[in-house]
Amino acid sequence: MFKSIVTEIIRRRFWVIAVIVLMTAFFAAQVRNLKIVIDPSTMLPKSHPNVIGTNTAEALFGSKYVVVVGVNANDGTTALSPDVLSTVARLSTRLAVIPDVKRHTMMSVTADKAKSISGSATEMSVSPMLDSPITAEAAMRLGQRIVDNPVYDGTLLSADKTVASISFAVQSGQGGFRNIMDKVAAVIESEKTAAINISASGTPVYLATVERFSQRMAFLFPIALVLIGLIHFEAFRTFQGMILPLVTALLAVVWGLGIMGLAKVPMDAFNATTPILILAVAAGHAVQILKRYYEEYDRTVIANPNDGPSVANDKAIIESLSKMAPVMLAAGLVATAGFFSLLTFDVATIRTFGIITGMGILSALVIELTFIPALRSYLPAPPRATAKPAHFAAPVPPRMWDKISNAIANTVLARHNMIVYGFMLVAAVSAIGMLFMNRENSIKNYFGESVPVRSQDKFLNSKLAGTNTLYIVFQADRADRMREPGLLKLIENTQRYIETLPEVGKTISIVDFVKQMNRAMNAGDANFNVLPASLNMVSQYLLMYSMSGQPTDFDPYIDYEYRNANLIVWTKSDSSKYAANMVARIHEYVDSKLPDGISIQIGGSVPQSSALSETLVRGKMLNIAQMIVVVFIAGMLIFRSVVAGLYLIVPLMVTVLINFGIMGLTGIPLNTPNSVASAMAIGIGADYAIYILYRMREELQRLGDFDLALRETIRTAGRAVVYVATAIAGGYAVLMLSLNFYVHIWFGILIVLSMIASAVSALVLVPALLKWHPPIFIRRAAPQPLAPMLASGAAIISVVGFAIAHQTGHAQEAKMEPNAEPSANEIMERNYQSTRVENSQSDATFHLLSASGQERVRKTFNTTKLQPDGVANRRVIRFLSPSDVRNTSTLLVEHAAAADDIWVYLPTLKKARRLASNNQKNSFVGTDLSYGDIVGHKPQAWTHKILRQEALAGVATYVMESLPASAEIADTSGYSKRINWIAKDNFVSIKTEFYDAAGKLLKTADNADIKLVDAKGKKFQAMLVQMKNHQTGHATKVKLENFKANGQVSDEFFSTRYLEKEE
Amino acid sequence: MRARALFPLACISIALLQALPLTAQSMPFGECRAGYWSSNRNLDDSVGGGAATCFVNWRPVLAEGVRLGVNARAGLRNAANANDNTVNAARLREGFLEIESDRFTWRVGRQIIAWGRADRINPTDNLSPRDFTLLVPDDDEQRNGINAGLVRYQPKGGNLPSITAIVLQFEANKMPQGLLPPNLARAQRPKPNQAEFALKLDRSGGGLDWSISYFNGFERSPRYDLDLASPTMPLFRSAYERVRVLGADFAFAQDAWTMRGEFSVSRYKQRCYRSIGCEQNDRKTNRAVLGVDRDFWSTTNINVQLFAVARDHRAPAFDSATQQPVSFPLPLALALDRLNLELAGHEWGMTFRVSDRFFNDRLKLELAAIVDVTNHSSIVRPRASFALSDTVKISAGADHFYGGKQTYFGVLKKNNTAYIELGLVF
Repeated sequence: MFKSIVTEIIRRRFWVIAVIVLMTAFFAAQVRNLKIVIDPSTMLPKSHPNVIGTNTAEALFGSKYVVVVGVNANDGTTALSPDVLSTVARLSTRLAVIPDVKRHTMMSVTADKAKSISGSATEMSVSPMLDSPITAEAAMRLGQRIVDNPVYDGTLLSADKTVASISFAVQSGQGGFRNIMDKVAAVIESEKTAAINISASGTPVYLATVERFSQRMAFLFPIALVLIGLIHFEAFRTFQGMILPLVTALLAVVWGLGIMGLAKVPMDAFNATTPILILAVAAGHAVQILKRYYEEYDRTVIANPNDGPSVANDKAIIESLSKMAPVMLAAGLVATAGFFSLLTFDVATIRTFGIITGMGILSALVIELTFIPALRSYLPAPPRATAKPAHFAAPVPPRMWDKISNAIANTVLARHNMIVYGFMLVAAVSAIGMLFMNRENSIKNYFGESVPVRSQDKFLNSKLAGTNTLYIVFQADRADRMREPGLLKLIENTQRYIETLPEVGKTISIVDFVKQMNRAMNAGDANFNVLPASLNMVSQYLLMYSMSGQPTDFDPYIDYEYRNANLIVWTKSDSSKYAANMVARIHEYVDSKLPDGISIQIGGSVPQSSALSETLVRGKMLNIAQMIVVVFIAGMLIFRSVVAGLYLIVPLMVTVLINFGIMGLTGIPLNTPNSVASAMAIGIGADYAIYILYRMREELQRLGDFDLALRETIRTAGRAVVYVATAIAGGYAVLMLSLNFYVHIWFGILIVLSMIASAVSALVLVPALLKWHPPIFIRRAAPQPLAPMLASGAAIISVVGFAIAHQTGHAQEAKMEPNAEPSANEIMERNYQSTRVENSQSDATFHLLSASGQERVRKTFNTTKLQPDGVANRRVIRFLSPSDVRNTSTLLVEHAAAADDIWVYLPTLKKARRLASNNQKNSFVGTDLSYGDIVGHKPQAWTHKILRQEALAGVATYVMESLPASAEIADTSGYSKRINWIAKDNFVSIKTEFYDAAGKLLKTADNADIKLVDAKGKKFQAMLVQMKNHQTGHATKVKLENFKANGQVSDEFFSTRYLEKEE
Repeated sequence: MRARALFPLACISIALLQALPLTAQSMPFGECRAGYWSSNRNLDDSVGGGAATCFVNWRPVLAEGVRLGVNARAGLRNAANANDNTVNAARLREGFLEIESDRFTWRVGRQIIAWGRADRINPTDNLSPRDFTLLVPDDDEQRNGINAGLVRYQPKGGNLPSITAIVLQFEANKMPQGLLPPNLARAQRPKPNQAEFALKLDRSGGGLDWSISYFNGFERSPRYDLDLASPTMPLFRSAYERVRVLGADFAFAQDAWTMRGEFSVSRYKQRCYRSIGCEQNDRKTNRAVLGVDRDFWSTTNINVQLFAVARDHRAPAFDSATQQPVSFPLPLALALDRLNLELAGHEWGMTFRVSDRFFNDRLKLELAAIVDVTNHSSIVRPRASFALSDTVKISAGADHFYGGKQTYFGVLKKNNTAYIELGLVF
């Protein structure tokens, strides 16, 4: 079958080349649609408790990715000087206005939140830590206030008073951290002087540096390309031998990336090295074909001396490809199956890796089976071989490759038992090495000690409380519980316990401030630096504080409702092992002491890293097992032999063991980037073994003698394996040139070692096993050409099905990504419809919370009903309290193709008044919601795009950007942009960010307590909506009660007659 | 109906309160305010004093589709002038029973009925009387209810206009007493006791809200004429004229703009008394208001209106004996015009209103002005209200009139006032 296909390809070679060139151009055009996502949250395991804890802490208290900046005098003198403090003041101001810096999290001696608490028996005084103007006297007073307010010791000012600190959180996003941190660095650089030194550290600083160093691929990739080309040239000693595999590989890379762009699968920073893998795999297959072509060409010209070069060329192409196609399909599809099976992984970056590589290999298969033979037939034939069969493939004198293959064949035939035992020994040693494997995911360790981020981090950690954060969020089942002395005592005891753990620099919670208030109210007597005994006293202190301080001062530590409290732990280590230990010990200490209705969640940069590491280790094992099962099933089906499956996976298992063993013995950590090395090794290693087994069967059928066939297999297919392995190893060896960036160096080392291990296993262990225990399948006739496809397909289905059965949640998420993902418009339309029930009635309570913490409450009755067209909605909102707005009612009638109608009934006026409907930006009766927010923003009036997919509070979401479709919409809505976090499962918005006309973040809406209100129509409703205006500090919490959907709602509600009916 | 009416109502209310389930929504609610006003609104020379006003609402549901509506006001004022009759007033503003059945709404009792879609100047709004002397910041709070029986029919589907028919018992506006020129006597004729009725077709919805209304009743404010036959001195005699008003209004929104218009044609019928015969000829007065409003930014609202009044028969002084116009001495003629606030045959002017809200509606500011272009007078009314909490708010404002003595707003200069109030919402 393949012979006729290849013949047809050669006959229509022009069209084949034209189609492939056109498709390449098409895919190249799609590459521009490839989204580069640098958001580290894409790598995080969404369901891990630490990640949920981190997201909870961020949602409640704003901090997740924290930057710490230290300012000190270069001469090492005190930071309590006007120069240093003025620099801190300027930095605080300038850094706060950088986009994506969360200004409300800014903390320094000049920050609004940093307050000194003092007082007497009757009065509490809350004043800024640093007085203005910044003079020597002000600096002295600051020093005294730090002493009087020990909560800031080590965070605002180092214990030895030489470093003043600024800390702030930054917003993670699609653009990555480099964009933000470059601006931060520019501000810092501009403030540095001969006398002032400024250092910066924290997770965002490191992640930005990862992005910066990852860009080294821009020059490493071309070097790898040249190196692979040179290795191929050395192997074939022909220009075509160098160029053709590279052309194949480059086209495969373009196709792979283009398909990703077309399918809207995003690329992330940790997959920057993946194109090299595709390049290597595709080049490897091309080498196998080319090698076979040269063999067949020599055979043809010797067998048919009268054929012209062109005829001989075509015959060699047909012959080589028809023999290589089945094995190539088998090898390629098995590798693809292995990589696609990574879709069941919980970490997005690993899934992306699986998709890119699988697509790349599939592309390479198509190109190699079509484009290469067509192109090959255009190219001039190689020089004719002599008519001496004994030397037809081995030039005289023999080259290094021939000597190596001969030596391997001799060794295998003579010492196969020893080889098998030797590999067993290696496997055993590796297994022992695995025990020492360092399951560590410290971003700091990605870099050499001499990289400035490391030295600055070291300096800041030596002076300040730490550059890493861990949050313990205490959550109560109802509001106000966090004022209870018992709970505050528990938090305090937890602080004292955590402070005994290693590498902890400081713990801060609301307890520290309450104690400080108590002390201040007792004339600063240190004996009163304890928690007040009664709830009343705590409440009174907080009330007294609110009279002169800002309630937002405690935003990082406690929420408005006193329902959630945040215990912040500053640590000096970002080690995931350290974090895992911390989290375990904190749970061990706290869990048993938690009263009913209280729970804790632990998050922060450090536990998040631990979550990633834990998931990687668990997932890695699953992933390896999965790929091995895929290879086993595919091999078993292709060769119709269980033994064949075993012979395929044994070298893979040895490679994996060696891979992990070397990691254990050398101390190379198992972290995110390194975790994909073994997956690569398996994917590529399976190719080698399949080529060897196929060729062995072919040679055995041709020669009849086992030893001769084995020798010939090693000499031919084995030699190609060596070519490929050396090319890939050579390509990846380039990464070892990436000085001080261990991500590249470790990866280079692991891939080179894996290639050596898998090539040696395929070349030595597989033949030794064949010799040691000759299987029956090796003597069977070749299977049907379609068998590899069917087998691989079956393998993928069975394994993925298995994985789905065991990872329902993860698999469902993964399934969405490649193909089933709805478009941006579909998502927003479904979002719009997700809460639109046939009709509804509910009561709502609006809590209006001013920036100063004052609360006003409005209660409303709400009812909605779709119009007879089933699309446009009608909505009535009637205020029930307070009395001065009672019976104020609003009727909104939507029109699909025209402006909506709005009437407002004011009881004082005694009549319903029509309002212009296009000013949807108007505040809805003093709340932070606009009329537009209440009725919903029509999706067709906005243009949408999917920014990314991420977990929010443990829920998988689409992060959608919606821009106004016209200037009019921007004007009437009042928003220049909306970012929606839309739950994948029900399409309900979980969170929305609203940006004002100037592009600044205006409001954030958080929807919670989302309930299924119409099971039949799959409609949902958030029963709790919290809208926060970041520019005014005002917030509105809307709580829905008695929500009933699809009951009996009379049309009468939606008339001015009803509005005028006061109740 | 004054304070004495409140007692039986209070008894009924207590009985009902005990009979009804006590939920928050079934309890009375309202607002009490206390503060200082620099002047009363009686157009006299009284100085200001403290004032307190309470409004109480109660909307108990008696049964499915049956509800009671009660709204009462009680006022207390520490006035310097002992004769100030605006002091210590209590009034039942509303006390009605409302029954809804299918497409009909029936409402019987004392009720406030407000008509007209224009902003604050409503030529079609002739039904509920007002107390112009009441010291309240908001003109709409000066409305009083009127005893009436109302039936409203809303055809099914909502595309057809509703039909409202009302039968009313006349009740007069409460007017400032200081308008009367000094040293001149005034005589009040008996109040009308004939029934009034009104009809209205009203449509809200679609692109345009509109209504056509008809009122056949009596003018709520008295009209004065001069009785020169009085033996002692000229007598200003007041009467409530029979009037028929055909009115129409509309409102529609286009983009950010809302346009509102309201028109009326009033025909004042002569009123004849058996004792003195007919006093006046028929008169016609046409009124029109046309304006737009729109929101700017997100909280600022600006409203601009043009208004015009056309009288075909401007307040003639006439001799009732000869039935011929007579020439009064100019001061008397001018005084009569001021009493009737008819200062030109054709008048026009403009209204402006700018309002804004701050701090999530906690602070509300408004500046309103009416300019009488014809006679060169105006009024400026700044208002501010700040909600200290849901239950406590403080408000301040002023009414300042400009213009000559013989101008519409100049006449009212004695009502220049400023106030500050503390309100308690319950």
